[in-house]
Amino acid sequence: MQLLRVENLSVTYHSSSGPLSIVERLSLKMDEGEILGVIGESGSGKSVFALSIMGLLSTKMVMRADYLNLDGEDLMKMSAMDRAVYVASKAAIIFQEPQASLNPCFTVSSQLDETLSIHQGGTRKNRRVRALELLDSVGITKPEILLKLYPHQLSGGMNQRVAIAMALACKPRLLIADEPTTALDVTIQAQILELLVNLSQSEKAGLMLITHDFALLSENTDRIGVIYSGQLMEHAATENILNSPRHPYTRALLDSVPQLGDRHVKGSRLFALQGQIPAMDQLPVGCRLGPRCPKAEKQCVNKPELLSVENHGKVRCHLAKPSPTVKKPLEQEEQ
Amino acid sequence: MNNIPQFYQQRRIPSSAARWWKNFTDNKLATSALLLLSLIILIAIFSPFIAPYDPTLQSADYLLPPSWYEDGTSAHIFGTDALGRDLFSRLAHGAGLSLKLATFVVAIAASVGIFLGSLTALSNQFVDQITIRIMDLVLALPSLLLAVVIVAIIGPGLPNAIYAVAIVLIPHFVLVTRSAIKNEVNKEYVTAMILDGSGKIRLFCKSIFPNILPPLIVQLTLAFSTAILEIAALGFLGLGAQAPHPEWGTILSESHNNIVNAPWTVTLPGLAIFFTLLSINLVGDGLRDAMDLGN
Amino acid sequence: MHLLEAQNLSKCYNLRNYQFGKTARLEAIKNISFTLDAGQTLAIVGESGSGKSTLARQIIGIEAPTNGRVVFNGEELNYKNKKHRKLRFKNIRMIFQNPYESLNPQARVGSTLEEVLLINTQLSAKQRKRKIEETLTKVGLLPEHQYRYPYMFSGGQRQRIAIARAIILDPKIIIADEPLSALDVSIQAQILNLMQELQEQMKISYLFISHDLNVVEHIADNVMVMFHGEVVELGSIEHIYDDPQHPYTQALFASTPMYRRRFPDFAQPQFSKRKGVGEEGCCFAKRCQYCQSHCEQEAPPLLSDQNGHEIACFNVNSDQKQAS
Repeated sequence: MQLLRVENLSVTYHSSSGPLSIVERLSLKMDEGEILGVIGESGSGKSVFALSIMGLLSTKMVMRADYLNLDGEDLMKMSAMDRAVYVASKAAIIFQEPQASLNPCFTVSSQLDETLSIHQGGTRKNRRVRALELLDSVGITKPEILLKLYPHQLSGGMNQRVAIAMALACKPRLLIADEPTTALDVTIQAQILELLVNLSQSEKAGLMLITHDFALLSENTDRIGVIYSGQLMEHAATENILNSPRHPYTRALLDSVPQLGDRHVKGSRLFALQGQIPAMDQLPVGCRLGPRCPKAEKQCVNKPELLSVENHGKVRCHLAKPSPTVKKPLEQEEQ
Repeated sequence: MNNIPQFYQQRRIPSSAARWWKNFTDNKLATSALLLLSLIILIAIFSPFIAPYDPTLQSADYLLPPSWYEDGTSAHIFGTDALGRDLFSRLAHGAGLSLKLATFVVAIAASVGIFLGSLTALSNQFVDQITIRIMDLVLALPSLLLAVVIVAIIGPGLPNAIYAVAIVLIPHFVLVTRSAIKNEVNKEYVTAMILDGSGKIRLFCKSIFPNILPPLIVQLTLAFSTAILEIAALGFLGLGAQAPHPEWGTILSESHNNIVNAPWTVTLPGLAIFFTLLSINLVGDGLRDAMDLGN
Repeated sequence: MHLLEAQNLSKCYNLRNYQFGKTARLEAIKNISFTLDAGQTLAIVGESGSGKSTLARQIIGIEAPTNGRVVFNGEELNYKNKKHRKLRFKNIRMIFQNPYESLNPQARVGSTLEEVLLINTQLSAKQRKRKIEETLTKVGLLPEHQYRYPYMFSGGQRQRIAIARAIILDPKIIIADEPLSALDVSIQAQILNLMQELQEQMKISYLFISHDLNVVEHIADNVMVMFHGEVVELGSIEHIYDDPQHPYTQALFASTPMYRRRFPDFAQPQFSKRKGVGEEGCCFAKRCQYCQSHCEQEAPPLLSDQNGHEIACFNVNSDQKQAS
């Protein structure tokens, strides 16, 4: 069953010098139990996208969407209050900095308890039992001790586990993890990622993994969406993206990370996209990647649309030919 | 590597100060406050030429109401006080006196305070702690009370009042400077400059000082308004400027007996103090915002 | 003769506890030795808190090590000696992790660079200007960028400025403390390429501190793996990346998705810490899957096999002894 369907979601930021489009007409679908990877660089709007689904945007940002369906209900038709309550019961978000998402003034137990009392109520005893269960499910071996501690007494990995436990308190159908492992050490990263994947599998909940690192997505995700400068550039199954990316940006992202066994050789260089990510108020005409794109052509000054490519997925590029009738240029390229 | 696409080239790169100025002028309230303040400063500077009468010249027209009253005259726009002195002339001269004294006070307090603050921040734990405790001790007493105590010890009079207010203001400068520097020295660019082989003095002048300037400038404006207020307060209490001097506090204290039958003699100097302080504080707030954005 | 040699470097910090009279001692790095040759890259790999940055601070000379020596070009660098300091600051330069913090926000780029020349060289104003423009071009910026303030640049460009500042004195060694981790993926590749290009042009040696195993494999000649302030494994890139021996190194690889394919058998570290391991035991004993009783009581020495691959682990070292 479909869990999340987003049609043409746009977010506009009203700055002092006029409105800026941060996310532009983004469309995505997620099924139950699916793990979707969203990849993008800083400032690409990937976090804003996640916040807009959760309804957590700042007041200076305005979200519009043709259709935003979460677990069978259209959020756009709800009032703000109903929406907040509904989203809180269906979805949860985990942030990059676990220390920042926990309140330093309260113990783990009181924070978990508060979340639980909002979501399921019950007596204090019941809530405590549930809290212990939750902590146990995120792989904490001695939850009784941990409950009495404050966030600053825990390591980053532990804090992130507590944050995940809090997110799980509402039994979410959709779990959004915004760079959940970026602030953690390498050895902890793998554990947290594994935990998230296992939890979403066992609960049949959707997991949206937002990151800037392809390596995190390669093993676990079903599909990947690539966001650049507020637009979805490519959206396809993970193996398609990794093995035969159709968008030059995806290709560049994959190539700019050293590959396995890529040793130091004199004169060897990584592929690097030139230039900078454009500022939101200085977007280029036409394709947003245009000025940096190694394959840019004349037609790239026109805005490309996100179109389906056969046996692949959706790509926003003039060079990835969508319909089967215009297959010629692809063949030419191959020659 | 030279074919990197460049973004739009500005012809002239504005300096930090220019950027602050632009941010400041974007703030309408602060800009109008600055205009008001400049007007007051202009009046203060040109008071000998603007004032129609000598501020101490007495006349028979005592307690003449301001010109907008029915029986007021245009010869004395703000009216006269109990001794028949022209109030406008007195206030204009008082503006000159107040601003001059405040500038002097702030100059003393700032130079001593910033010097001491830098010294404490860069010296060892022991010196630092001792200085901070002394400053805390001074700050623990209400500033006006302290000024009164100091004047009581060294005797009333304008010069002594100035020293008293300056002493009261020094701890603020010390603390602001110290905390700003303590913040700065741990920043990576300071480390980077040490690694460039820079000596201590160069490090302070080039790297630390420009970056602690914003809080210091804000502190300067705050100190300026405090100085004006305290000098006026001491004048009002008869501990600062003495009777014939056209000092705002002194004018107030001379005329507060007449508050019922000649309210303008009290209201007008009060308003002068109020607007001066208001404009200075608004400018200070505007500066703070402007410089925070710059970073 | 090696270009740079660190001999038994240790650093202890006295931590103030704000309880009267009580101070704790933190041994940030313990007994670290390594060598670096001209034009080579030594990568230091480890988690946060493993003492990588502390080690960098001892080498660059911001702090004096508690113990041990830093030898540059055959000459021991004394922390206090003014001449040594000058020599050190001129020949060993540093690139910081966060390009948003390592540049003075109130100084134009040109004046930041000019300071470096003013302090360390005798160049005239004209020569300085030429050198600044040359250096900016070398790192892929334009000469007119010298008139700008740091806030006008993006992260990648700021890191280029930081690199310009490091290379402007034609140093022998550059210490790069996580130079990529604050940058975006597509920008990381640019900076990495630039660093390699400069190395080949100017024969600079890098001490490259990173937690990113792919990047290290791409740039390094030798790798030093650190854990809790100690070196657990040290060897050439082939030693470490083809045949990692120490359980911690193996755990690192097992935690990185890309390398899990190459080393499918390696165990991840234990999440829960083992109890009752004292200070005197192996630094990794608390998390090690292969920990035995003597690992908890005694720290294994860093021993080198015949190929110069150094490992600090009882299990590995005893195996080798038996084999030989």
